[in-house]
Amino acid sequence: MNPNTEANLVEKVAQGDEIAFDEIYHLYRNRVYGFIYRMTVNQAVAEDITHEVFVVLIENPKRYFTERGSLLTFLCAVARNRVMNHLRRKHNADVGFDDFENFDVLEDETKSNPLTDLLNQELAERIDVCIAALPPLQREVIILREFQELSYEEIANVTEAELGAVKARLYRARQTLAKQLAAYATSPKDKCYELH
Amino acid sequence: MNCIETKKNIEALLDNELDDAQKDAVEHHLWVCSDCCELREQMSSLSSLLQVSQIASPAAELDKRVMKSFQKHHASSRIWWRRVVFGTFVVPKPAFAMLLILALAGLWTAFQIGKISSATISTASPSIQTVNEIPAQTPAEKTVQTVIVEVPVVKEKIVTRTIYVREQKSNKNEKNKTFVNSRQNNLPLYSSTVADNGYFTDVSLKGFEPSAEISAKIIKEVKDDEK
Repeated sequence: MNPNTEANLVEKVAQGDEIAFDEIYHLYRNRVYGFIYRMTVNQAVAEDITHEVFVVLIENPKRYFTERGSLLTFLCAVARNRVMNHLRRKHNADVGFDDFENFDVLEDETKSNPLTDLLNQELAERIDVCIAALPPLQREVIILREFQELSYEEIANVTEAELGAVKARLYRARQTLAKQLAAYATSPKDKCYELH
Repeated sequence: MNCIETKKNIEALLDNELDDAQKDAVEHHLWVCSDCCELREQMSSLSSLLQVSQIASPAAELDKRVMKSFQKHHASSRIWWRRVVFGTFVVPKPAFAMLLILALAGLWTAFQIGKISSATISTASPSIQTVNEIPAQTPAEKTVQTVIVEVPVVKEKIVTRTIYVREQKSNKNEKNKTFVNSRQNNLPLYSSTVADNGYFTDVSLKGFEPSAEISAKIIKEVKDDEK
């Protein structure tokens, strides 16, 4: 959506225009919820945090600045802070926040027989498990890039990280996922041999 | 572009983060290098694979909660004065009603007191009329009397003055009011009212020392026949 259009809608929301808010909400609800759900892997928590994110927009619409990125970036940044607080509380007893980068990756449990996991549903579940097993800082960048389709710069804004750090985390996340999901991917060699 | 540089840029290429020149350079290398091409395909297939993952939409209850929050926030904003007045303390409705009634009763009482006071003031402030007006009255009224009064003035000097007193019909609040006028010997006007005990009260002697409130006793009444 055009930043000016978003700014106008947010201005109307600040004035109490319910139709404008409804438009924003239904435009970004699934994307915000999707990001939170993939980060927390808990429907109830994801719904609560999604609610909180939109309440921030309702109560403090002036916190959104067009110059700092799209409205989706703003909503994802708010969601990200709350998700990290949730994960921090959840894992506080076991690991510190600084260890999020080196979060233990779950072992691949279904490497045995890819033929049994051909169904898309099962594949999707497998992907969700692999993503959920990523360290939070890698998980958030892969979700924001692959599912929210944010640019590197927008991801850097949301995660408050350097552009280089975003690229590095994205690279590591993809390497891990490629390794874990190799059995489901089409053979890249075939295509390349066709070309060369 | 060599393999090391290309591998660094493959992800950026798939994510559309390269400018045209970089994109051309990477793609050119991929045409000639099967290893880098294989890596690009691996990354590309991973992106496609991840899209298989779909999550269910949130429960409809979430929509209701969010919209309710919006309505609640803006409903409370509209009655901002309630938050200002009652934000820090709560006044029970019966107590508030009692306070309101007391305030209204106080206002009504103050209004009534003010009304009475204004009537008294207007009674005690007779207007000054010139002597010239008195002869102008028609003989039929016959309300003009001539009285001689003794008026104590400054330095205990007793001055006797002849003044004209005219009973004036007026409203019920001014029924005892009598205007007293004199301009004898070119003296300025002065006026007074006559109380029930026969004394002049609130005599105002404008320009006739002292011009303060004094009382004057009627010492002689001159009938119309004696004039």
